[in-house]
Amino acid sequence: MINDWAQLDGILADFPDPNYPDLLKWAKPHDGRYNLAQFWFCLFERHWMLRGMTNALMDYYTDPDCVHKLFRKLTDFYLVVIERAAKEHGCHGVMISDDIGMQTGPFFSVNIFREFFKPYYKEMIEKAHSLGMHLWLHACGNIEHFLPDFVEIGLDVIHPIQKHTMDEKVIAAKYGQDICIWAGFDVQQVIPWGTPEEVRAEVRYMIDTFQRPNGKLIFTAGNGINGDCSLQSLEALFEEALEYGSKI
Amino acid sequence: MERQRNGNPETNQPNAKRKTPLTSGTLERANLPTQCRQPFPQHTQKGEYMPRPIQRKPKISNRNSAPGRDMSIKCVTLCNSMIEKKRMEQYKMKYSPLSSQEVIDVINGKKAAPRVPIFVHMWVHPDTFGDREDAVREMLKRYPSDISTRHIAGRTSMNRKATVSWAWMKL
Repeated sequence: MINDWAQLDGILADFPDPNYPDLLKWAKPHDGRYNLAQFWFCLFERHWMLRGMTNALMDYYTDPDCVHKLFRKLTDFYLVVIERAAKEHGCHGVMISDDIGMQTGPFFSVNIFREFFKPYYKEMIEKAHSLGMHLWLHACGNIEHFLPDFVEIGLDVIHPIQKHTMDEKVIAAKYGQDICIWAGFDVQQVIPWGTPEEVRAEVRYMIDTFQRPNGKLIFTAGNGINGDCSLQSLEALFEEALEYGSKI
Repeated sequence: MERQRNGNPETNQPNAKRKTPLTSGTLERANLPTQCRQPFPQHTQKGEYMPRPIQRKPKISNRNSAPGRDMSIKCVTLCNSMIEKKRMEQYKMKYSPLSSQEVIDVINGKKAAPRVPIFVHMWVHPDTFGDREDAVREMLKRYPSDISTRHIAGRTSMNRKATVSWAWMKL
């Protein structure tokens, strides 16, 4: 924890080395599929884990320079990781995660996003693109206000357009041509409580909503599918996504 | 927020201490894996499982024509390899995975794939299904995942088995 920003310089001086060999120690060979490197927690999630949620949300107003200093260091770390994923393993894309949305709205204003997050995301995206890779972002919750900026800086794939937080039809209509939607199936209602037939219907609805004539849709779950899901529902999810996804 | 429940299966080993300090040039000396840079073995025989035809040398896009892309373009031809064929037969898979190029085209909006790409496996946590865990694992083997994931090790509060010598958070 960074209890006091006075600790920051010491923490940055002992920061993890992105060139550490085992950081990207992968044994499995390429099998011809799209190869995605993943790391969890990027800027906001690292920030609040280190500072606590209340402090983190205050920091944007009370200690902006310290936040920038931390994000600069984190971004420099990620830029090396992205480069290593491309050059050492030929990855096609890198996925990062930052849950910057909640069920009912974003964690902070668009102005804060533009000052503290957008420039660093942009650097990561440009780095990925310069290496011929895509950048994927997992961001739970309502992120509708940030989507135009993500499109502007060239984010390639966004997950999950979380059901019940935004109007997926509006999102698909506004941004579906400009960004690939890694559309997440509803894991809050339909997977735990729905029947297999309701699962199938929701799969068809999602594909009808997000699919574009030129693609721009990858089907997935909105988040973890856990033990509250019946095997029949899980099977229905796969079967319908593959069957209906082959017809469209 | 998704957490890494199982750590990194490929680095699921006891912590290893770094023997030598990292300095610039360490990576070059370390001779890190370069599987993808090697040519693929010629394993497809006439009459065997036929790979999805590739009409031309894939061009991902202008931005994807960077030098680092050459190695992955070579990977495309491996999609429907003997390994994949064996796996499909073993698990009675009805659908084969899409190739990397087909997924790239979907992301870039160049063209739709033969079917909507599916990437569900990483979100399914069989270990939470209790006595149904094995059934879930068997089910996952029957369906394709069009994306292959590789976790970048980071010893975080949720990934205690990674082998890196440092931690984002002290545990």
